[in-house]
Amino acid sequence: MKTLRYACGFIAVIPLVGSAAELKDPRTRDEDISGTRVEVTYELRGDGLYEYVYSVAAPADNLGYVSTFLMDLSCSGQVPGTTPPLGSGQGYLGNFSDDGKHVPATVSADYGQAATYGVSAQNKAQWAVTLRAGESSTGLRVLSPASPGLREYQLVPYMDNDPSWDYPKEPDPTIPWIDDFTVVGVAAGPGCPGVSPPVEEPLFAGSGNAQVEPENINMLLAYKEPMRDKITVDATTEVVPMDIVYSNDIDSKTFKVQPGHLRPLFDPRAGTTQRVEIPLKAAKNMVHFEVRSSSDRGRRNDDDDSQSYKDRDRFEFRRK
Amino acid sequence: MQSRLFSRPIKVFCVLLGLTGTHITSASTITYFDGPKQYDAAVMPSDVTEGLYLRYDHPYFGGDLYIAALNNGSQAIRNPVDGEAWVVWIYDTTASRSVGSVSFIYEEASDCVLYQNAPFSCGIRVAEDEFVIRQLRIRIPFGTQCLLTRDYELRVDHILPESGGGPLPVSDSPYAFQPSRFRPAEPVLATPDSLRPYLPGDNFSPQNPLAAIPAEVGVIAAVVPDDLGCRTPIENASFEVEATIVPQSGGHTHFTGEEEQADGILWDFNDPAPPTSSAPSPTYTTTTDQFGSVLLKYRPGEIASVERFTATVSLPATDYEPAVTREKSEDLFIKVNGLLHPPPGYGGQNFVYADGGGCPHLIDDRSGTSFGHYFNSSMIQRVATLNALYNLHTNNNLSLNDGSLPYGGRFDNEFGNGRGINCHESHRRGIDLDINGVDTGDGNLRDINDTVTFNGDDLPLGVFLTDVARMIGLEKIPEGWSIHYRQVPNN
Repeated sequence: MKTLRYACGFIAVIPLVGSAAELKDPRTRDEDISGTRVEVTYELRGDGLYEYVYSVAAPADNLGYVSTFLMDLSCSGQVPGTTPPLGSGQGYLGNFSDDGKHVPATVSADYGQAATYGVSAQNKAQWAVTLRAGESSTGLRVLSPASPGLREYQLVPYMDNDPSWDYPKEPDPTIPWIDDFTVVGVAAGPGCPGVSPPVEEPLFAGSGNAQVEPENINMLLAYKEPMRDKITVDATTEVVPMDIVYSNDIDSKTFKVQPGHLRPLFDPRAGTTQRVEIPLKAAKNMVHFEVRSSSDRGRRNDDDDSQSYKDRDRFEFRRK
Repeated sequence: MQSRLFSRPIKVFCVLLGLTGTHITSASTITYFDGPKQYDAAVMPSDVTEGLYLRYDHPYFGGDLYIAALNNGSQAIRNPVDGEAWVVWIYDTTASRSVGSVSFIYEEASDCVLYQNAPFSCGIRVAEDEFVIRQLRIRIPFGTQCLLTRDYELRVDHILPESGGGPLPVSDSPYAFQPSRFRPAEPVLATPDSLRPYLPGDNFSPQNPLAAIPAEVGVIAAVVPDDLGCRTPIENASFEVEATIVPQSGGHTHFTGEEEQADGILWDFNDPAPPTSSAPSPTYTTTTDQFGSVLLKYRPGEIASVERFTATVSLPATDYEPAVTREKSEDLFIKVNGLLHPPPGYGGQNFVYADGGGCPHLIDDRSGTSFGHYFNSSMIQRVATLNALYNLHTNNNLSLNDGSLPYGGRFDNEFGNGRGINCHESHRRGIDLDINGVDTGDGNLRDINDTVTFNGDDLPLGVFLTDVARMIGLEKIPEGWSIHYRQVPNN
């Protein structure tokens, strides 16, 4: 049996204290769960199916609690193969894939480890793990004929409609919401044949919006380190190493980094890998990358498809 | 027996109707079907004299048309006998058939012909033995109303042989005539079946912001035909199109009590862009072109409903003809296509419908609640699935608050609440759902913070609900005042 461990980290608990009589400013809401650990073991069974077993552990200093763990099963098309027997158990909701474009897979969970589970509309294995700080879930299982490949996972916090937060009636993009605290990383899972990167050569595509970024665009910038988009480090840590892989297809001239003072650290040459040490300030450090494909030269920013041809990644590094 | 017939066939085109003849020197009275009108032959415009004219729908004869004709007196009936019955008909020499006829009886005492037992037209004795019919009114049966330019003859005969003799001799030179005076018939109005209203964008969902979707622009086309079905364009007729909202058709309430106004813009088809002003302009006045047509563009506003386009074509009264006003309406759906109401019991479980908040709307007879529970087909599946899964695990049902109005589009805002008309902006396309909570079956809502146990795992009810929603492709929208889910794009 082979065991791979993926990102873990801890952050300090920063309690929010407010007057009981006053509504809290939702801009201050922090549901950080970036310290949550994900582990996976997998093995090839005698019946020819791979069994992937995930464990998720929320550290005691998580601010939010982990509502859902999702593991990507999607492929660009329907994948031939024998679907293992349907899931079972009290928490099994079913397969709700909108288009069936995923590896054959059965999702299950050991009793008491996830309230519900199944295949989601967007072709993800989904478990409602409901982990408060200090809790963990094990025995989150996927059974599939698909061999291991690197797959994207998500740890999603729960954000309720707690009326103690003073949400405005109109949308305000500066107010953090679920996606701002969702952790995206990669781990071994049932891979798309010929598509998913091999487990032995971990490569993280970044946290770009996979909903709008085609696969080739999403991989314009990839990372050997870190392997998730949100990590926490000790308060004494001054730099975070980053191994960034510039694909052969990037247009170097379009490479952007925010904050801008980090730009001199990067040398975006197509087809190269660069190690960069990101200097950290106190608390939360956000780093944004953006690049376009070299085949995309001349596309105007106001082109309707413009946003679909950018690889945009976002990292959050917290010092506890 | 001496013939008492016309001395020769009446020459329709330029003889029978010629008003320049010396026999007509004083005012004549023509009784139109829409009322008597006195006019002086001296002011009769020349086009009236050029052929048979004045065709009007008669409300009592099923849409048949009539030709009234004037005789300048050059054609006379010889030696008319009191009580003689005559028949006059228009004969299509090309098709060898009659296209219309009239019969009457001659009354010698008054020198009038009696039409349907009522004095209709009196004539003139132009000579001792010659009588001129001053007016004729000939019925043209429905379906043969278009008298195209071709050769016709007007023929006269005695109805009964014993009352006068055989047919008139055929004209040696038949005369062509045109239906000289086309009048506008009801316009033909063409609109699209439906147009999408303007849908504002929003960024409630940071990950999946909704871009604004402009309203669909449609072409409103109208053609004004002639009233004889001859496809002769009516040019330069005054033409007005007005869009009005069929009351209550979109599920809106309008709390001002005023009649709802369409909020779209009509403009000329040949103008590439609508007027720069965004102010509603649902009325457009113009004149018909040389083809009798009008082409406009219409861009709906934000209100989705049934809009009634009424085209009115009109010609003013003249000295010899009454005014004409013809009107035609067509309904156009301003809507987001494909919005549906969850069928009762869909998914095996009933929803509980409830409403509240500051975006009220009309009552839907089917659900007994408001019109605010419509979704697109994909979303409706998800909503039903959400409820079914929830019911399966809790035996409770979701209490639905607002989805979309039946046709999408703008919600009204009863109280304003400082938000003007911006009520439920994101709900206008059928992919958003507010739920009040979970109905316990007795009308009470269960607290979403209640702890429930599934598969041996404890979690709050709201967490379970949101997790199920995520499973079926719904994301939770950040609102502090309601449980708001939206269909994730592209699924």
